[in-house]
Amino acid sequence: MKNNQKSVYENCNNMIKKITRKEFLQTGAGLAALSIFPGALAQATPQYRVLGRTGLQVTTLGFGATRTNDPSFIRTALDSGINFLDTGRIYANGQNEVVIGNVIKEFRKKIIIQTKVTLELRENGEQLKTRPVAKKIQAMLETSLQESLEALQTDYLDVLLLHNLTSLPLLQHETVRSFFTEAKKSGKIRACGFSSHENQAELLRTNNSDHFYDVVMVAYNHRGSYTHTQTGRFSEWDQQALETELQTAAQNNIGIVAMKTCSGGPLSLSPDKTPSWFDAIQWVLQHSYIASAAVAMANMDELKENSRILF
Amino acid sequence: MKFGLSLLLFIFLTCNLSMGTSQDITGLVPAAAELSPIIISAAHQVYNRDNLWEYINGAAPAYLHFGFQQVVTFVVMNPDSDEAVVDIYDMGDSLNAFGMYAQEKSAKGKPVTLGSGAVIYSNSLYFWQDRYYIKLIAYSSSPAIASFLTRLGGLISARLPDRGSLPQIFTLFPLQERVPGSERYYPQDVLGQAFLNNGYSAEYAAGEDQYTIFIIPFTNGQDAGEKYASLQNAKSPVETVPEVLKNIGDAAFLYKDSYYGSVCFIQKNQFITGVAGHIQAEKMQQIFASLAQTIP
Repeated sequence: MKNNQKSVYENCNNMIKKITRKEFLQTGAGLAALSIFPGALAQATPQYRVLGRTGLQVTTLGFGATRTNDPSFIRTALDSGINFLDTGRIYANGQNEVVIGNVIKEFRKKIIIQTKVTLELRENGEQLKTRPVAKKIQAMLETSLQESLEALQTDYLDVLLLHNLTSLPLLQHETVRSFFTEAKKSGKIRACGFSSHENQAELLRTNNSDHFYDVVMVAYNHRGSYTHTQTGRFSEWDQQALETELQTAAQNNIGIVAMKTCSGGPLSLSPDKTPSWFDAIQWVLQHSYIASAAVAMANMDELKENSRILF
Repeated sequence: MKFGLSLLLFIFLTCNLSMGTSQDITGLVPAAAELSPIIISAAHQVYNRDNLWEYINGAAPAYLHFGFQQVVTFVVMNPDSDEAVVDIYDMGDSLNAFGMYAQEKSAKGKPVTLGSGAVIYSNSLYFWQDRYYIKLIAYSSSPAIASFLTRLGGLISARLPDRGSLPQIFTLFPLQERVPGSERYYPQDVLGQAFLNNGYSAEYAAGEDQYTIFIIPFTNGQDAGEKYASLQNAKSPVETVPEVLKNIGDAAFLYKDSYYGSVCFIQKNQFITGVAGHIQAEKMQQIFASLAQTIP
């Protein structure tokens, strides 16, 4: 879209009845917008937390982009005050990153982008250590990083995660670690990490011993399990073991992002309240070791409900 | 009677060329004799709605959004030892197959003649046909691999039912200035609104003007009217519509969108139609005039 020409809207700018996203105003959630768009009606400041040793200030509510490819909706989420976008190279075959790139290109530096690289490998265990496989891993990582940078129309990523990590050999893989080290040195990424749905405690324990990864993204909610909202798939973890490792990670200054925060179902934090998604997210954020809850959203109803958490 | 005609029109415009129940998708894997000299180097696996997540992780919600039923995936190898992963996704019907293909297609792809629509990239080939969305992804790229993928795609296409075509509703979109291959389908949450389903869009470009046209069909005018009122309520219309836009519809409304710029919607019979872009009111009026020729 070109912006150098007066639009229909701008032509009748003085006739505007109300600012856009009126329902945000009504809920009191929106239009705080405004660390991202200073001067634009900023009236409240969203809550930020520091993402561990990265030093990045992320909003407590992150926008999980996997469920939408609508640029207008993503922009609205940013207008609501969210500054932390979570995407992945494999989402919509890379088009999710393309859409986000189009949305943020004019204010890139105000947004914290976390994306993910998927290592699609059939090899495991000792096979991962062979030279051909190491070469393949290196090529996959380099290609994915380059494609993410191009799609997002940026020359750096704030956070690059290994996507859906399940095994220790990959977590500790020399090629993977040297790739991340070099990518940070070159300025192409500011921080590295991994996301995991399974075996989370063990992976965290390993990282807590060597502190290599800056950021971890884990499934975490009040139930200690999740039923996927769309697949109905059930998965559970040892909540106590996970929380022990999360606390240690926070002490080690590792940034922690929570996902699947609503997948444990609605929650009521007080007896007089109806269970809600809002309280489910609030429960996660009551734990100070969580920097941000990345919640996948697809429509305004969800955004309105969840963005109340920002203020 | 009028309701009946509206319903028929709705079904015609939005009909899926193929709908059906789940079948044994492994039957779509080409036989060894057909593939030769290509061989299957990793046997097929099938994932369904319950476990798609195990295969594609965070990409799964988008597939489920588009009606995903099941996928069969396998790996093939040509005589040069080039390998490619083949995924055949059953999206339930052809509209969803088209929708998923359109969402994942990037502008970098080169259109090729295969199935109902296909694009090829340096190391991959994507196409849709009937209720299926097919992805062939090689681990490396070269002209030889491109022809390997094309041949493989042809073999798979030959095993699939009839080809189908772009949904009929796109005949309502003006052809002039339309960007080829830019058509999209949104099964839910059109414009981020939970109450708007089954929307369609196409991109347009004319000189420096770029804009998007949306058409959302409903089963009847009353349903469209209710959703139109909800849309007006969800947005913040400018109080006074520019003079030039006043004759485009009885209740045209205009609002500002942070991304699209100006967005204008009208309701006509069972259709909600919108134009979004950083464009002048006169241009927008011309676009609506063009749409008035096609929207029944």
